[in-house]
This record gives sequence, structure tokens and C-alpha cells, in this order.
Amino acid sequence: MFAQIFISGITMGCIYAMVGFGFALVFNSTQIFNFAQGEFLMLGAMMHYTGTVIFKLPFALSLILSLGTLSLVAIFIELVAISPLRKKSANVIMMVLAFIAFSMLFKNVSEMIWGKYPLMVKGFFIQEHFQIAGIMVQSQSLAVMITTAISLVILWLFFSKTMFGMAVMASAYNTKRAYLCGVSVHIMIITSFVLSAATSALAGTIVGPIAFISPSMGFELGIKGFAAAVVGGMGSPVGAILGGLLIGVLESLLGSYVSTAYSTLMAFTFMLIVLYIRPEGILGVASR
Amino acid sequence: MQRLTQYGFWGALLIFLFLWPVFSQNPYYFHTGIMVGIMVMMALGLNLLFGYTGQISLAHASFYAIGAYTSTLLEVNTGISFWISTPLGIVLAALVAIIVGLPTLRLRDHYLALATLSFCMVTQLFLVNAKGFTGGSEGVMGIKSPTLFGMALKGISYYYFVLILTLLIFVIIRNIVNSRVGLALETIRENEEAAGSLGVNTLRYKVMVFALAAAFAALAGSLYAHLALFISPETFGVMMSIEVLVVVVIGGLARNDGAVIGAIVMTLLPELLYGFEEHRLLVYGIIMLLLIMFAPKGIVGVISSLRNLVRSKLDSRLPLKEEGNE
Repeated sequence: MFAQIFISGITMGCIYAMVGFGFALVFNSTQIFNFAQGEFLMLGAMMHYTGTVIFKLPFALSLILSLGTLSLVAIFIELVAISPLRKKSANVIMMVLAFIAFSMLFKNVSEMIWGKYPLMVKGFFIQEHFQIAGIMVQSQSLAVMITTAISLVILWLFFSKTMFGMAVMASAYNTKRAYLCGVSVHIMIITSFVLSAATSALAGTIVGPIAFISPSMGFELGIKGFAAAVVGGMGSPVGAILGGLLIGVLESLLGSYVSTAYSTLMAFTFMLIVLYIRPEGILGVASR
Repeated sequence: MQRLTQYGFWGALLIFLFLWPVFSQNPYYFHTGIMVGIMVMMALGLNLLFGYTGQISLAHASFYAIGAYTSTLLEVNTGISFWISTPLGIVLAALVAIIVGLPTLRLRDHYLALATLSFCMVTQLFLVNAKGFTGGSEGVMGIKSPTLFGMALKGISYYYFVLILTLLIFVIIRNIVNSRVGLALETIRENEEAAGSLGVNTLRYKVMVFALAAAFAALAGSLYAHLALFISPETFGVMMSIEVLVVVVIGGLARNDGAVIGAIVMTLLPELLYGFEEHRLLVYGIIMLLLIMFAPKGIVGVISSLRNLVRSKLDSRLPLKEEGNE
């Protein structure tokens, strides 16, 4: 029983971790909280639904459709709103408001396109459950964990082994010096937007078979992603992953042993406590 | 001359607000008018906090909820009157704001936005889950209109009641803004360290403003509850907080007249876009985005730069410099 609860916690934790990771990525490169991150996840899930259920595309194509569309959306947001605002050196709060405006737009547009009601997508595997050592495991849980692990390893390799990835890191770390070294900072910012949107979209495609997908799903998952990033430490993507797993497991344990009503409260309360006691997060470095 | 036209506009607006019920008896207009008043109260408070002091808050709906729930639960369960329960709600909201504000307002910008956002989520989840106490998602029913000297305040009388309270709050906030306190608040917004080194107790001021804004929101909440005569947790979600924020930004940050104009526009807009009710969020989002991108000073900012433009065109004695245009 415990193992099963733990596994379902880790599964949701992976989703929060992916959203939190995307969140930390944009924050690192632009110092802006992307309040539309959850909407990226929702749009990713919706595009995957459109690909597999409506267009009946093969799985891989549908995945490409989803990630591709979201990358375009991210580039659009960056070019239309964030870049002009940065050029005008607008207040950070104005950019946060711009993201809030985008999230309202996306939510409403997807309600127009896909309707308000929850939709279903099929899992990655035909068999729904299987047993390991007497524990019933949802096969989609496994898919979520494997996908998360693979995508995070790829991202890690990208950021630490390739020149391009290091340039993204460099311009996030010190914009001016990176610029002086010949890094095109704007391209790097766009890249981090794209990667952030793509990871969230991927999280959306893998969460679809576990949870129902609907235009309002983005809000809650997005906020838990923020919680993951904040708990782990905004400056550190690794922290966001750990934070996500921690929140997922705690939530699932609380939900099964105490009450589901309070498991949702937990994420927010936990985030508030971390913000009060250690605003830089568990793994974060204090920023001044 | 400029002051004269400005006062002329506000005077005309006031006369209109006081007199139109004489000519029209449509209860729908009263309802809309009262909703505008409620929104103005919330927006003025948030504007003092966000516009003047620079502290973003997404927890405004929580205090709105505290005002609405405290007053109505006290009335429904213990039978005390509106005139006692509403002040109790206001005091409770201010106390909660002080307790929450003391740790929260140490945070800045994004972190403040996130912390207040999670506070808002926590209160709404509490309202839904504490069924025995708040009625859960079914909400509170059986709320009665307040009575004054044996006369029930509803329709036209409630309209005047809300109008007078709104004016009162407008005057209070205007006086705060024009006082030394207002100066301190704007210094905090511009540079908190500098304000601190000039002897402004920044945390105390921020918490004070937070509590004041919460108190006004609680009053608005109670007024809303006694207008709708039914409340449920749905009304008091993060969306409500964002809506107030949108009103403040659209009207024009750090302008009290902006908060009023923003509230009027944002309350009337969905009514005018009748049939577009479904796409309210879309319209809000687009308007907000356009204003952020092209007119960060809001509607009031657009109006005053248009006025300056017209004046510089009319004033042919001066060389045509784009001075008034910023």
C-alpha cells in the first residue's frame, strides 16, 4: 500500500518537477516569473489530444506537434511582449502582469477551441497496469518517470556539454559578460523560453492519461510547479526537480493517510513556510 | 483652467451618480451601480498598496471573502445585525492582514506575488473544505438585507448607501496619499533601502497599508454579500484578485481617479459586451496586454497625454515642441 502511494506521489512529483524546471529556466535567464507556465502545460496536453484523438496521428508525430506548437507560442510571447518590455526596461511587475494576461488569453482561447469539459487521452501503453514484486503499478506512471528522467538527462547534457547550452547558461548567469564574449543574449533568452515551454508541454502530454485534461488544469498544476521551484530554490533547476518530487510525495502521503481535502492545501502551505523561513529555497543561493 | 475642467468633470460625475436614480428606476442599473462601487472600494485599497506603495498583492479576494463570510455567518448563526457584524468582519480582515503581512511583506516583487497568491488559494480551499463552518461549496444562504431605522436597505437605498461609503473611502485614501504618509509610501515604492535610511519604518508602513486595503476589501465583501444575498467560495478565488489587479492597472497605477475609472470600465465592459460573457477573460487579457505594452500608465495616462497633445496643438504661441507628451 505504502509503495503504491509513494509511486503515485513520485509520478505527480515528476510532473511538478518538469513544470518547476521550466519555470526556473525562464526565471534564470530573464528574472521573470512566468505566470503562464501552467498554461503551457495545458496547451501541450490539448495539442497532444488534438494530435492523437482528432487527427489520429501516430504518437511520435503528435508529440512533435505538441512540442512544436508550444515552442512557437513561447517564441511568440517572447517577441511580442517580453522583449519589447525588456527594451523599454519596464518594471518586472509589468512583465508578470503580461504573463497573467497571456494566461487569461490562453485559458479562454482553449475553452473556445476545446470546450470547458474534461477530455480523455489514451496512455502510452496498451496494458494499463502491471505488477512488480506484488505492487500494482499504473503503466503510465512508469512512462511519466522514464520520460521525465530522459528529458532531464538530455537537458542536462545540453546545458553542460554543448557550446550552445553553455552559452544559454552564461547569458543567464551574467548577461553583460556573455554579451561581451560574443553571445547573442536575445537568442539565448528565446532558447530558454522554448525549452521551458517544451518541457511543460511534454509534462502535459504525459500527465494527460493520468489526469483529465481541461482548459482549467493549467492553473493548479502550474501553481504546484511554482511551489516546486520555490521550495527547491529559484536559482537552481536541480532544486526545482527535488522540490517537485518532495511536494508530489508529501501530497500523496497526506492525501491517503489524512484527507484529500488538505493535500492540496499542503503544497501552498509548504511553499509559504519555505518562503518565510528560507526565501532562497532549500537548494538555492541567496540572491542580493 | 485645467483644474477647473477637472473639477467640472468630477462634479458632473457626482451629480450624475446622485441624480440618475430619480430618472430611472431599473433595478438592473442599481445592481450594476452597486457593483461598480464595490469594485471601486477594492481597487482604491489595492491601488494604495500596489500603485502607491509598490507592493503587489494577489490576496485581495481573501479579505473580500473574510468580510463577506464573517458578516453573514455571524448574522445567520447568531442573529446580530449588519451594523455590528460588518465592522467585526473589517476588524478581523485587518487583523489577519497584519498577521499574514508581517512575514509576507518582507518578500519582494515575484516572491510577494507568489506568497499572496498561495494565501489566496489557501483561504479559498479553506472555505470549500471547512464545511461545518462555512457551508462548504454550497455557500451561505438566507442572508437578509440590512435595515436602517426599520427600513430595509435594498435597491435605491442600498445604492445611495454604497455610493456614500465609496465616496468616504475615496476621500480617506486621497487624504492619506496627499499626507506625509503618502510621501513615505511612494518613497518605499521608488527605493525601499533609501526610504529605510531616511527613517521610514518600511515594514510598518507596508503592513499598515496592507491592513487598510484588507479592511476596505472586507467592507466591500460584506456589501457584496448583502447585495447578492448568497455567497459561495467560487466568487472568492484567485480570479477575483486578478480582476481587481486588472482594474488598478487598466485605470492607471498610483492614480485614485484611475482606480475609479478602471472599476467603472471593467464593471460596465462585460455588461456592454452582452453575449460575450464567456469571453470576458479574453477581452480582459487583450486590453491588459495592450495597455501594458503601449500605455503603461493606464486609461488615465492616455487621457492626460491626449489632453496635453490637444493643448500643445492649440497653444500656437509656443513653438511646437512635444513637451507635454513626455
